[in-house]
Parts: sequence; structure tokens; C-alpha cells
Amino acid sequence: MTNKDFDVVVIGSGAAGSAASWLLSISGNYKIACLEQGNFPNSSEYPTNFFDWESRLETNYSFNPKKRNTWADYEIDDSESPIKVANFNGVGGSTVLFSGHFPRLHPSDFRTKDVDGVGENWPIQYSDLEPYYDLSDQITGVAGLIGDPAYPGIKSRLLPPVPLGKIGERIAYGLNKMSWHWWPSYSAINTKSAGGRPSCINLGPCNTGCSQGAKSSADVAFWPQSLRNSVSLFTSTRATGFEMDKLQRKITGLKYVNQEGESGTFRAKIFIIACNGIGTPRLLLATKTEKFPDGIGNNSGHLGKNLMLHPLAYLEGTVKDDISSSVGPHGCCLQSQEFYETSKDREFKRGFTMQVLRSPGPLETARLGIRRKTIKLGPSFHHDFYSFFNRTISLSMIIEDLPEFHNSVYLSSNTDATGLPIAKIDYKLSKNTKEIIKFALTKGRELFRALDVKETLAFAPVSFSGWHLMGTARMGDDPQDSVTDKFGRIHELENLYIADSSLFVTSGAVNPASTIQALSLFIVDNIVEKLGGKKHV
Amino acid sequence: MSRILEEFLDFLIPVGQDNSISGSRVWNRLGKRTTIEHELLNFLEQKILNTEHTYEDALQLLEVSNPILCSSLTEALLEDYFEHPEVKTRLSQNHPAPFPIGYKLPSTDWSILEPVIVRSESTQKRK
Repeated sequence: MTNKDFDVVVIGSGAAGSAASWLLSISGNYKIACLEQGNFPNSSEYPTNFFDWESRLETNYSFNPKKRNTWADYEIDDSESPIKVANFNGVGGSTVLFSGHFPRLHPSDFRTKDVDGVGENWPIQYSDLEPYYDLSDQITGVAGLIGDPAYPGIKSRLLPPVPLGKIGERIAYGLNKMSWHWWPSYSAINTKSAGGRPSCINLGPCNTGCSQGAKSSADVAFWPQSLRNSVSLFTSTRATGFEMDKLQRKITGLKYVNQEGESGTFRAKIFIIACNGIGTPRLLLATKTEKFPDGIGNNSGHLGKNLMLHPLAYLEGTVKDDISSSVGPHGCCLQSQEFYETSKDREFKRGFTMQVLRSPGPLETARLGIRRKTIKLGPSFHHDFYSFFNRTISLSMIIEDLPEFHNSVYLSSNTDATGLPIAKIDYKLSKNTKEIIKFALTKGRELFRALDVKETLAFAPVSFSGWHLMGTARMGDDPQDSVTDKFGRIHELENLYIADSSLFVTSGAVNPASTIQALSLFIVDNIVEKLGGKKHV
Repeated sequence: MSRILEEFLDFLIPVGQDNSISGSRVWNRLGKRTTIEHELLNFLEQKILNTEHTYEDALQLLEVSNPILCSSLTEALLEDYFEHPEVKTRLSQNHPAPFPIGYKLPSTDWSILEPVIVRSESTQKRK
């Protein structure tokens, strides 16, 4: 049993925890600890270092925690959800495997109740986060282009956009023909050397880990500086619960166990939870006291509720000519937000972002084709294969997921090896979501027709797409229907904060990493002020 | 390698129009492939030898009667094929040592965005 004393303890080192630890480390002479249940990823082990990289996709750096199955990969029962959890547990969290999409929420996303009569309003506005989006872009290194009509206010200095390549130019032509909005993706990818990291050489599959370090995952964007600034990073260390003072107004300690079996308590003035939309409610729900019989911070009954997962609708088709569609960063090409906002002409509220994906490498193309029976072994093999390889166009539509009380994370009666209850998720697509999906697929098909693309596959929701885990400890002004205040502090406690995507009140229809980091920086900047320091923004 | 096995692998991935690499040439014969090979040979001897069945029939029978073996065979054969240096070269994939070398994306002429900007400006004016 070991006790460790710090000023601030951050739990989790994903996008939120990394940003939080970094800002604390540059804001004063604080003694900071960050706990991470995984290890520091070793980029020399990423699949793209190897000639047989496509065979290595489903190994230690698979996005499926059940396939990795390491000590860090806590069990999540997602059998009651059509969308399965995809993640990475290690320093940098899921950004290690993300595609690098880094768009912001729209101002309207913070006021959906006022604007469209659905969801809930955030207690903060886009303008509150804007300087933190800029700060996050600056430390991360974001490629993009100023002037996007969908984001007229972006003032960040951006790196040059990721080139569209032949596939992007083809789609852009179609989008122009349809008179729809589009813009090159905002990408956490170095398109020129920045932050001590090299320019991207287009290895392609960013979502297997970037072996050259050009993708700005949180482990490479934040941690070199945070470690230089003496943040104590405890890897392979899992938080297991909290200790409180007698009045149960303050957290006095965080209990932990590490992979070697050592256990003990971290003591600090401030505790910040950044364990994502499942890990955060799990940890809080697992600590029950007399004052919090249903888990810490759950007096409103909203802890673990309102889970949003961003269902994806997927449409794939082929063109007759070679458009080098497998070349370039997999996820980051271009996006259209023509149908992002609510329209009175449509049956549903809110909307979606259409993203163009680059297609997989040759082995994965053949694997998928055989699984889907579009490629056959035998005399037609080569003909079938070349109908798809470098000729495939994939559209991924991120659907706005509105908060629904019944979509939730709760604790199973089963426990894992460290004694923590296993998290279960119960998630169903709402009627509004289903309507958006239907509409998104229709619009994708219209685009395909304009481009003479032959549709080969369409489905929704994509099963293993539960990367975006949001909403399960939402912020709000009213303690009756929210878990934290607008500064991420749990209503009933003086020194326990949340800084991750579980705070999201609505999901928007964009990848959340940019907002997670901006929100974490906003929360920590206010904590710095509370600690007597000077705010960064 | 027995002739029947060789012929079946060459049926699954025949020589393409622009190369001479077929299934039997890339088949690795090591590790888990030894077991696959043994099981497959048994299957082919039972279903093909002394019958009127073609290799196409054999593949269909394999899919139905032993989907696990079929799936293992497919995965192993595809890996061996697409990781063969000659196939990689033909597909413009990277060569080993040093690997990876990446790709160059041609730079984009961003005037392609003009219609988006013009449309946005005219919408703003209408407002």
C-alpha cells in the first residue's frame, strides 16, 4: 500500500487527460500526476512499420478492445447496442488510432433546444470554447483551409490542407455539380514539419497508429512537453475508487492498483476525471457512499444517461477508372456539411456530416470483397479484385445523435480482475436518428448518381464504430438534470472535475476530438484560476 | 506439393493477365499453413480424385461442408499473395528495407473550391 501526494491528479491520458495535464504543466509550479491504465504506445510496433502491415491490423493495435485483450482493456458489455465500442487504452487514448479528423462543433450545437426545440442547451456557448479550440489547434497542429463557409469564424493558423488526391478531386467535382457545400477535412496531421514532428508521407492507414509521428495523436502532441515539465505519468495504473472527507463534500484520495498488483492512494487538492463517456461514469457509479448511494455525482440520476455514439451510415461504390483511392490518409480527405443544420423541409431535426474515406489496401480490399461475395476466388479473381482496388469510393455519414435518457452506461453485476464492476451499455437508435440515416443514404446515392458511381454497399449503423462516447455526465446549470456545472465540477463536490466527452450535452455531427481537447483546456484553465494561478486564455 | 493441391491453389488465384504469379507459387507452407494444407489435401482427395467434380465444385463444397477450413485457407492464401514482393511491386506498394516509404499525393489546385465560396457569398447576400 503506497500513498502519493500531488496538487492535481488527472485520471486518464487520452485526448482530454493529455490536454489537461499539459495545460496544468505550463500554468504553474503544480505537482501533477496522471494515471493511465495502458502503456505508452510504441510507434515502432505499429503495423505500418512492417511489410505485412495489413496482416497485423487485428493485433495489439486493433481498435477492438476484445481483440487486444490486454490488462489495460477493461471489459465493456455492448451486447445491448447495435454499435460496438472501438477504442484504445494507452497514453494518447483513442487518438492513437483515430483517423485524425479535427473539425469543431458548430455554434448551433450548443443551443439545439433554443434553435430546434430538441436535445438540450449547453451551459456554455461556442464563443466560450473558441479560444480553447484555437489553443488546441495550435498545440496539436491542424491541417485545413481558412474560409470554410461552415466555419466562418476560424482564426487558427492552420497547416496546409491534406491534398485531395484523385479520389477527392473526383468527389469534389460531384459535390460542385450538386451545388453542395464541401471543404477539405480539418485534420490533426502534419502536412509540413511542426511541433518537432515530421510532415506526413501518406502511409495511408492512420487508424493503425502513425509510425512516423505525423498524425497528432495526444501522446505525441502533448506528452513530450508535459513530461519535460515534470508531470508524473503513472502507466499501467488503474483508478479503482475515491475516498471522501467526513462530510462527503470533498474527495481526499483516489485509490489505484497497478499491473504489478501494487495498490494505494493518490492524495491531491483537485481530481480531474478524463476516462471517456464510459470509463468516467463507470468509475463514479462504482463508488457508493451514504450521501451518494447511487454513485458519486449521481444525485440527479443523470450519471451514465444520455449516451451518444454518433451512428455512422456507410455507402460504397466503384468507378471504372483507377482513382488511386487507397493512397493518402485514410480518413482525412474532404467533408460536406450541406445537411448539417435543421431544415424546415425535412422530417427530422439536426443532420449529418458527409466524409469521404480513402479505400483500404490490397489485402483488405480482397478480404472485404470475399466476405461480401463481391470478389470470388477462382477464374474471375483478378477481374473482381481490380474492379475494387483503387476504384472504390466510400462515404461515411456521421449522424447527429440527440441525448436520450434511456441510452445509458450502467454497472453489471460482474466484476473484472481488479474488482471493478464491468460497464454495460444499453443503446438504441432513436426515430430522429433513423430518419437522418435514411436521408443521408439517399443524399449519398444522389451524389453517386451524379458521379456515375456504381453502388456496391450501403448500411447503417456501422457496427464497430463506437469511438465517440459522449454525454454520460453532462454539464448544466441545473443540478436536477446534469452531473457537473459549466466548469466541469461535479455539483455536489468541491474538488472533483470531469474534463472529457461525457460532459457533452449534445453530440453535433462531427468527430469530437477537437471539442474534447478544447473543453478540457477550458475546464483546466478555470481550475488554474481557482488554484490561484493566471488563466492562459 | 502434391499436384492436386497445386492445381487447386492455382484455380483459386490463377495467373493474371499481367503476371505469372499464381496461388501455388505464393503459398507459404509454413506455420499454420501446414495444418491447412493437410486438411485441404484430405478434402480434395475425397471430393475430387476419382470423381467428376471440378475445382469450382470443390470450392463450393468446401464453403458448405467446412467453412472454417475454407475461411482459414482464404485468409492464408490472400495474405501470401498480397504480401508477395512481386505482387506488391505490381500494385505499386512499398518495397521492403526501408519500409515504409510512403506516397506522394499530388498537390491540389484549391480553385476547385470556387463554386463553394461563390455559392456561400450569394447566400450571404440574399440574407
